[in-house]
Amino acid sequence: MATTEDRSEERLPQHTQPSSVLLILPLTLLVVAFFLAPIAIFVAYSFLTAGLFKVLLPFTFEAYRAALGSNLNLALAANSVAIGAMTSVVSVALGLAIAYWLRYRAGQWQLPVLFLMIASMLASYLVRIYAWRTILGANGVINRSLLELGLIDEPLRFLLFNWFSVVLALVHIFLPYVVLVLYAALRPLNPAYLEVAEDLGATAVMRWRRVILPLMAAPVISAFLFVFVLSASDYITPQLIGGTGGQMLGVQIQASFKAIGNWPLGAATSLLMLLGFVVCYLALQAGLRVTGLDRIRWAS
Amino acid sequence: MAASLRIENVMHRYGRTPVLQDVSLDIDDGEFVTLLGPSGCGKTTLLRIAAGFVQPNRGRILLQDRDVTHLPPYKRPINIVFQRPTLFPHLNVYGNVAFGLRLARIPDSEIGPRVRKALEQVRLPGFETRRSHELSGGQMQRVALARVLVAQPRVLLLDEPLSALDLAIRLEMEEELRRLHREIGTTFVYVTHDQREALALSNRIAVLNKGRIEQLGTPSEIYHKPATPFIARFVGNANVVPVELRLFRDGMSMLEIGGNRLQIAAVSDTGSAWLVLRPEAIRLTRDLSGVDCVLRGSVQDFSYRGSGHAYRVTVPGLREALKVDTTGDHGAPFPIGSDVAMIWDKASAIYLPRSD
Amino acid sequence: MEISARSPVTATLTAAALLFLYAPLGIVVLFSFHETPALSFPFTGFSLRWYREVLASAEFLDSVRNSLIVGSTCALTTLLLGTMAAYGLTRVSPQLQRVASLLFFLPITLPGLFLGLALLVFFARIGVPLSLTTVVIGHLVFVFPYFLLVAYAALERMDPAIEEAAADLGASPWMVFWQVTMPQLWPVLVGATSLAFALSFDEFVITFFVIGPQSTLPMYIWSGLRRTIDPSVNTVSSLLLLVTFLLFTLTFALTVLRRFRLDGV
Repeated sequence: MATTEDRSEERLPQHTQPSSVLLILPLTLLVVAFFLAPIAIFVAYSFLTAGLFKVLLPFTFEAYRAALGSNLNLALAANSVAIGAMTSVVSVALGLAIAYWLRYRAGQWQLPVLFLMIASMLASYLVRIYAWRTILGANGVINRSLLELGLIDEPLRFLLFNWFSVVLALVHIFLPYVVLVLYAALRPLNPAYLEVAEDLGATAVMRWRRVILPLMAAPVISAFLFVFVLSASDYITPQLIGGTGGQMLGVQIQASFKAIGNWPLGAATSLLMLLGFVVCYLALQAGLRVTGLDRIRWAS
Repeated sequence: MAASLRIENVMHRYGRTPVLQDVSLDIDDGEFVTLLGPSGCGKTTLLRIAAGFVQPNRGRILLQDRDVTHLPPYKRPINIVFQRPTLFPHLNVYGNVAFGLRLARIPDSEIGPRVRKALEQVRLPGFETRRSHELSGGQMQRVALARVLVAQPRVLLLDEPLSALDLAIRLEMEEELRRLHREIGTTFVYVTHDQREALALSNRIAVLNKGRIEQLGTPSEIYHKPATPFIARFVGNANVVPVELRLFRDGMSMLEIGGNRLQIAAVSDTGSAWLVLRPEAIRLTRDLSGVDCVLRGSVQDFSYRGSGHAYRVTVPGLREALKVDTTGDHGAPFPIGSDVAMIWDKASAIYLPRSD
Repeated sequence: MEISARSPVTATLTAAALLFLYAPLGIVVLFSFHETPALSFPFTGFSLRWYREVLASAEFLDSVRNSLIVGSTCALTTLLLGTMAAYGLTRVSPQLQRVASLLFFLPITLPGLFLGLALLVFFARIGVPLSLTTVVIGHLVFVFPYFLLVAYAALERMDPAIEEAAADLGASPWMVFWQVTMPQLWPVLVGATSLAFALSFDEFVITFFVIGPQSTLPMYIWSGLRRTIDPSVNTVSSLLLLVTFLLFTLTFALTVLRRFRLDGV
């Protein structure tokens, strides 16, 4: 670890050569023109009012008031938080177990399993949701097959389109990412640390509680946030397999732009959602800092 | 007295590769025993079996006559210090040393004094609040030592604990280990491939080679009476030369070395043998008269060593040049290419059986 | 270090997870060969009729062509701009590097929904009609940080002493880049470029908002999904899975396996 750090220190010249600035300039322009500028305009829109086929000045908090005042929005937001939290808890818990196995127990299976994990990551997002739609639901592979084979008389309820199917599909999408992130985070945790703990009297449960989890706290929180933000803001999965119980705020935001046409309201709602994510991030970071687990310095 | 740690007929293999073949070893209470051998000889595996990380395919580990072979590491009153000081990076020095005590649910009021005492034992008083990345390599290894000493283990296992350190710190730590062993009186089992360390630290040394104990003895026995050519070569510097021995008339033997025949005082061995000679046991001279053993050769190379010279002397008929260390010769060295005679005391020559 | 196999819980979970990850995809592929439109067991027989149908569909072929155009434009632009930026980043002062990295990795932190919406509003505001070009722009912003991450990490791992030695032997910066840096870097760049292509080829979340009248492959699947169950979606999905899997295998061989070998793991 230390050697790469030293190396990057060595490499960086204290003074920038003009030619190096030219190298990073095109990408900088791209980010400014097509990322920062759109975000700025988007934020500005959230303070406007919707008119017929156009938006109106002056700047007001009207859109925010409307977004917060909508009971539907609040219900959908609660649903988003619940589904996002469930997805990330399941993904991280399962991801930790798998990353642990990959790092310490896989032996010759490490590379093949790692390969399969990464390969599944690239399976198209829509194809995955489609796959679950084929499998779940009253007319899905499982219920239909069971019905046709005469094993059940009516569709199994928990396999219908609801919040459970959304969580299932989202875990399917995010689990490989979580495994990879946590596996990478476990790399500096040499097996010798676990042996030292075991030698000092730690059972398997104690090793998880006293060594692995404290050392993994920061990456676990990052993985949790990553999955939470992306799943809670998903607007496609709930549309396709959410049924009525699995609807989320993202769908509503999307609809404000594509169907309803109230752009300021949509912008305000999405910025409020982003604000919620930022608050989550800051709270978790503060928790890490208080416990002193935010920056683990590995002795090389 | 009961053996503190008894290793009984331990056999182990990884896949099809045998790493330990029927190893038995009794270690007394309070002893400092070193397992010495080249890499791949099985010494670390033996230590890991004693600690409980590896289950032997066959054999038993007894601790004070109690069979602990199938106890997991966390239930054995045996602790280990690894090659690399693996201090938990999320804990400070105090947290690291207190780790095992907290797991054992010892009250905090008792943990404090015990941690302080352990840190004093390893000469790091006042380091409680430091983090591992603020420590030097030697300091980290001292904390790792304190972390296991605080548990007052019956047996302390050390797996090449100094090999990751710089030479100067290594020498200092050797002294510390000797002092700690004296002060605590716990049984130490030490693994190393460094014969110098083994000689300097141990009460007894077990030399391992290819999964077997080739010789068990005090450092002096191992050095002066190596049981095999391998040990002679591995422990200290030695000339190991193929020779023929024949009985000669009236109390004399005939030593055939290379193309040379020497008359020497009678030795009991006859036939093919290995002659083991330490470089410092050989003296160089130009005066060829009236000495017991005289072997002629010519100087191939020499280097100055401060206390004397290290020579390489070629002998007709011998493939390898002999190593000769001289001390206290402050005059001009024997020049390269000059003819010299080598003499040694009968007592310093060791003959080991050789079968070709 | 020997590994004892005493971890039945995590081993079982890993096996279950692999099954969980691959079984649904397997079912999609399986039913793409079903001779009837029914999506249920018992399986009545194999047939290639859905493949024949899909491959004859002008709409499908059109969306594939569009996806290929968008994916390769995005990947090649990313390769050019990203390599320049990654190389530049290793050669600027620490302060500038910090600011530039923050700027470059910011887009990753924003979920696709918001990026898509912001671009939709932006293009409407500046009066640019939505088209494949706007899709490429959206993909670029989303894809380049991943490319940069891989390329920059690879440049960081390289030993600066080699470049310095070359410079010392009289090579100009241009020669150093092409004759010393590039020979070490190209496999990573190939890998990162195919990653960029794959991400763009499959992108839907942003595309949904910034696409014009044309269709890309994910948009084609989406419209299939909106209709009632359509067996040809199985076929399209299987083809897509096949392509991404092949592309990924190439990437994996060039980057991960190579690194594993270099690390001696």
